[in-house]
Amino acid sequence: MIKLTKVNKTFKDKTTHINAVVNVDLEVEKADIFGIVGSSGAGKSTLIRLLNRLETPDSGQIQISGVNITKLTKEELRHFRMQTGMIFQHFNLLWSRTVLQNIMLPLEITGCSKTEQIKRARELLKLVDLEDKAHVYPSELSGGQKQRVGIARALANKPEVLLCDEATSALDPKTTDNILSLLMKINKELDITIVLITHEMNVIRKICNRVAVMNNGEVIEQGDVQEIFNYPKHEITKEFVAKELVSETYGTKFKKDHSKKLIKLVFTNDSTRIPLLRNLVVNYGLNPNIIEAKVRSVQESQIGFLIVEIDSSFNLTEVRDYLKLQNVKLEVLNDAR
Amino acid sequence: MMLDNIVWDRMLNSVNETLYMSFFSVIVIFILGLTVGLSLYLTDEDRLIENKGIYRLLSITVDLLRSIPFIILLILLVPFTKLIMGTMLGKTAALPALIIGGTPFYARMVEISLREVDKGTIEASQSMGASLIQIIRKVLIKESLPGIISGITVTAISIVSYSAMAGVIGAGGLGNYAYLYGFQRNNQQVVVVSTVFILLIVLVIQKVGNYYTQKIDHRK
Ligand SMILES: Nc1ncnc2c1ncn2[C@@H]1O[C@H](COP(=O)(O)OP(=O)(O)OP(=O)(O)O)[C@@H](O)[C@H]1O
Ligand SMILES: [Mg+2]
Repeated sequence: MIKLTKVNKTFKDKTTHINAVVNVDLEVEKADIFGIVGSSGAGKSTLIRLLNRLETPDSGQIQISGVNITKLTKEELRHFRMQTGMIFQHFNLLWSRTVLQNIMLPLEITGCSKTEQIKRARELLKLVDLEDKAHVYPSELSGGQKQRVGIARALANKPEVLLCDEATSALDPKTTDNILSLLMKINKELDITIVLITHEMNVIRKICNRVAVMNNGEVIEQGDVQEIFNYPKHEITKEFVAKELVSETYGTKFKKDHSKKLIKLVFTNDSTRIPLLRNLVVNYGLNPNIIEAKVRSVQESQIGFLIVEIDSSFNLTEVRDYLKLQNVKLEVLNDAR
Repeated sequence: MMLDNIVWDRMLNSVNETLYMSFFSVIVIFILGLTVGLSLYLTDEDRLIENKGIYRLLSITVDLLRSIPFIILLILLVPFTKLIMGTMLGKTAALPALIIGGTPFYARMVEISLREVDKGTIEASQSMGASLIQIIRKVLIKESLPGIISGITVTAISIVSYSAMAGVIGAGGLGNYAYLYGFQRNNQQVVVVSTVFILLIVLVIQKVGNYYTQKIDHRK
């Protein structure tokens, strides 16, 4: 659906060169909710703006639905943009227009008839649940409502791709959840591919199925969300995951006991349905003392971790084999000896 | 009677001339100023059709014209006015000077209002595939309309007073009337009544301008 090959973008000034996007390869499948996470200045906005050519790459290829968009003429580019929706952190609604008129703007741009515009805008208002606000001006809306209008507006021309630049960063947690649910609904019901950027891992966890992690303009890791959450490889990724998932303080909080060791079990999806701990106790004679445990949903499935304390003399070989079979990752955190 | 020294026919005719001069030049200033202001904005650094050369040229011309005192501009333009208007007298004679004096003033105000348009909204419209013309019409002008209207209100008020000044060198209107019949013939009543009419015109322009500026401003 979207394929980036060796894409580079540098901002040149008289004095400085900023490599905002460096050698990025990226692949987004149809109907993905693809997250791009990274800290401030990592190049996320630049990357997403390359996807509708608000920025032009210095080199590399950007294929969207089989078309190389770096080669489009001005007219072709306008046409391509009409089929790509975008929403923004600060909503970017026109204050001079009512909610309904804001949603009609992209339809005016494509040249739909007035009746068609109104009909479509009303449908969209219904989709985002704002039918009663049609004739209200944006200044009278809450942040969440503004973003709903932004979403409706972005969907007006029935795009195949929706780009979201920090769409929830200006919203409180509850409103964020509402907007994320709406995005999920759009993805499912309208079969729209979503690319979203964020600096919050919990946004990724809640709605994305795939994720890329950016740092200093580079994509340092990309893949399945569960995979990345469970087995982050790069240090930066680990940081992001840790911030979101585990309070990595057990080691210090916990009084050291030389006869014990701490192990961490990370399980995904299927393994959460097995009475894992019971099996370990009954079949392997493990005698665990639970220190910390957390299970949560990642994209409609469960992942979690369990930190237990066991006798430091306990031989883990058999347990390891069993856990491997169950797709559970085992990690010895601190061997107290 | 208190106002027995006033020839009302002449007075009302002067009011008419002032209204004509002001109205006509404000219309032209509005169109020219909008065009120049928009060009200034669009060709400025980091804007939609950045062009240093054109920006500098426009900018210097505008500032130069703006710094010439109006009374000097009137005198400077005498030959030009004679050439294109065929006369130095009456209600049309002041138009070139009013337009040339008012346009740069208004163009800068337009430019300032345009700069206040949120860059994000322009970007949003670009992301929808809007053309330059569509961005100008649907976003830039609409989003800066309160500034554009309050700007033309301020300009119109200046034009009324400029037109009175033009009267002194022979163009028609209340200024001319007050000067010829009030000042030169020492008829204080004419001066006072002319002033009252000018004040009324200014007041009406201000009220109408404020009304529309507020009516279309939904920024809060
Ligand atoms: N138009 C521009 N001109 C010059 N430098 C730019 C421009 N846009 C972005 N940059 C620079 O490129 C780098 C990446 O910026 P970008 O906005 O893509 O980061 P980001 O990951 O979106 O950050 P944030 O989370 O703060 O939004 C930054 O160093 C930024 O200063
Ligand atoms: Mg950004």
